[in-house]
Order: sequence, then C-alpha cells, then structure tokens
Amino acid sequence: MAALKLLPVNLIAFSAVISCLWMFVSSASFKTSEGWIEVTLPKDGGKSTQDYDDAEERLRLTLRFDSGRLRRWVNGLEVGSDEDLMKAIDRNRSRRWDIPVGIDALRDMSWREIVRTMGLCQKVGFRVSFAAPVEMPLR
Amino acid sequence: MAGSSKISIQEDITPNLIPMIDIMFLLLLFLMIASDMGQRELEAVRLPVADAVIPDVPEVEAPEAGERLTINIYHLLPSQRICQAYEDGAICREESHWRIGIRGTDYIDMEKLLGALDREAAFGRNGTDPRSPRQSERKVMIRADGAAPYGMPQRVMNVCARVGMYMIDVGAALKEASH
Repeated sequence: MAALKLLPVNLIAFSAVISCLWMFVSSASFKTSEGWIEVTLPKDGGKSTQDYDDAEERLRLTLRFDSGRLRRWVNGLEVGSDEDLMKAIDRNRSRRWDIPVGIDALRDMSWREIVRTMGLCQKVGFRVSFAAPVEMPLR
Repeated sequence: MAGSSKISIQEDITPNLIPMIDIMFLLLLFLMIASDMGQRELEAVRLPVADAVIPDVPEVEAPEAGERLTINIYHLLPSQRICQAYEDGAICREESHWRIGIRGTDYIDMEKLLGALDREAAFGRNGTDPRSPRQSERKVMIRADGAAPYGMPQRVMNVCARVGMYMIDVGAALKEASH
C-alpha cells in the first residue's frame, strides 16, 4: 500500500492524451456524416433512347419551380408532400421492383431538391438513373 | 566552522519525454493534414441532405471504392467572391461563382474536363461490351454543393457520359448528422 502512494498521476500528460483522443473521435464522427447515393447514367453516353422509350417499364419524376414553389410529378401526375411522393413511387412496385427512376429537371432546379428526392427514392428502394431528355406531358 | 560547510545537492536532470511526444504527435498531425492540401480530394462543400444514403465508412465501402474519382462542385469562398444568395442558403445561379475541382485542380473549360476525365476513365475500360467500347467501370463521386443549380452537376454528368463513366455516386449528408 505504501508503494502505491509513491506513484503520482501526471495530469498534464493525461489531459494531453484525452485531448488527442477527443480530437480523433470528433474528426471521425465528422467523416461519417457524409454518404452517397448510387445513380447510373446511360452506358452509351445517352446516344440512344431505346431503353427509355417504353413508358410502362420506367418511372419518371419531374421537378419544376413554379413561382418559387417546388412542384413534383410522378409519371405526369402531380404529388404534394414527401409522403405522397413515396406512396406514388411505391405504387409502381406492384408492377416491377427493378424499374429505374428517371429524374427530369431543368438546369435552374436546386441540386438540394434533386438529392432530397433521390434520397426518398432510395428510401423506398428504387434506384435513380439519369437519362437524355424525353418529353412527357404533365397534368 | 559549521557555517562554512557546503551542502551538495545532486539533481537528476532527465528530459521529460511526455510533452515531447505530445508535441511530436501534434507536429506529425499538422504535417499530415497540411501536406495533403495541394492534392486533396475533398473541397469545402455544403452537401445536400438526403433521407437515405450509404454512409461513407470504410466497412461499407466497396473494395474498388479506393479507385473512385471524386469531383467537387463548390462555390467560391466569401474572400474570393461575395454572394448574398449563397450566404443566405439559397440557390446561387451565377455560374461564374462555381468551380468544378478534381484533386485541387479547377476546370472551367468543359473540354479540359473532358480530357481529364477521359484519362481517368481509361483505367476502367476493359472493352467487354462491343456496343459501347468506351464504357468505363471506374466509379465517380460527384460532391456538389446543395446550393448549386442542377445545371452544374448535369454538366459534369454529361462529360462523364461522354467518356463512358456511368457509375456515379452522388455525395449527400446524412439527415441525422445535419441536425
């Protein structure tokens, strides 16, 4: 017991090690806050629209800004909230589960909104693909 | 006579190793971070938030993920260009405020970007599909700022498609982490 009393605790070194550990843990948690969403592009560089001609076999999400308000359509039918969008996407699961979701947006659309919509598609279990523009009437 | 006797005190002078190790450790940390700045993969970007993303942790990364090329689309710093829309968190539609960067090099000219991506795509071309011989299996990560107009990532994706890169990872922030 007497020998144990002779061992002093070096508080400076102790606090330095704790600070280093804290720095490491903070930077590690910052790193994990990022992630990614997998999307695909046409393998032929968009030269052919053959894969996208059959509207029955694909799902198309259209995003537009209308007087500063975001409007979204699923296969030409407008949806309001995120829940409506996910339900509309999910309804197509009954037909096929592996159909690609095409995003149709103009150049001035917010990238933030596109990624958010892609995240909702991924949440429902659909994979997003980008394609060369093909006109579709909106209702 | 008793007052003139000298008392000799022997002190052990030993270097204190613990602060030295701490300082060396911090120096090493600093050098590691600072030396990578010129060739850094990631730029300061406010990633858009998504509900479901694949977390960027080593356990989840695919084996070939190390080969993934990162393309950053980022806004100029306030010291370089003051942009009220960007500062307010709105979309900045001024294309001159945006930069497309790969490993610390900015590309404004799309033809130069095409050349750079073509060289990168060459590593993933195996020519197995005769219909698209330029197809590349190399993955690309597009880390675009959430305030960017879609036209910027779209431009990069067009170039990727032209060089045969079709597997794209879109950088996003986890919803929980953003709050």
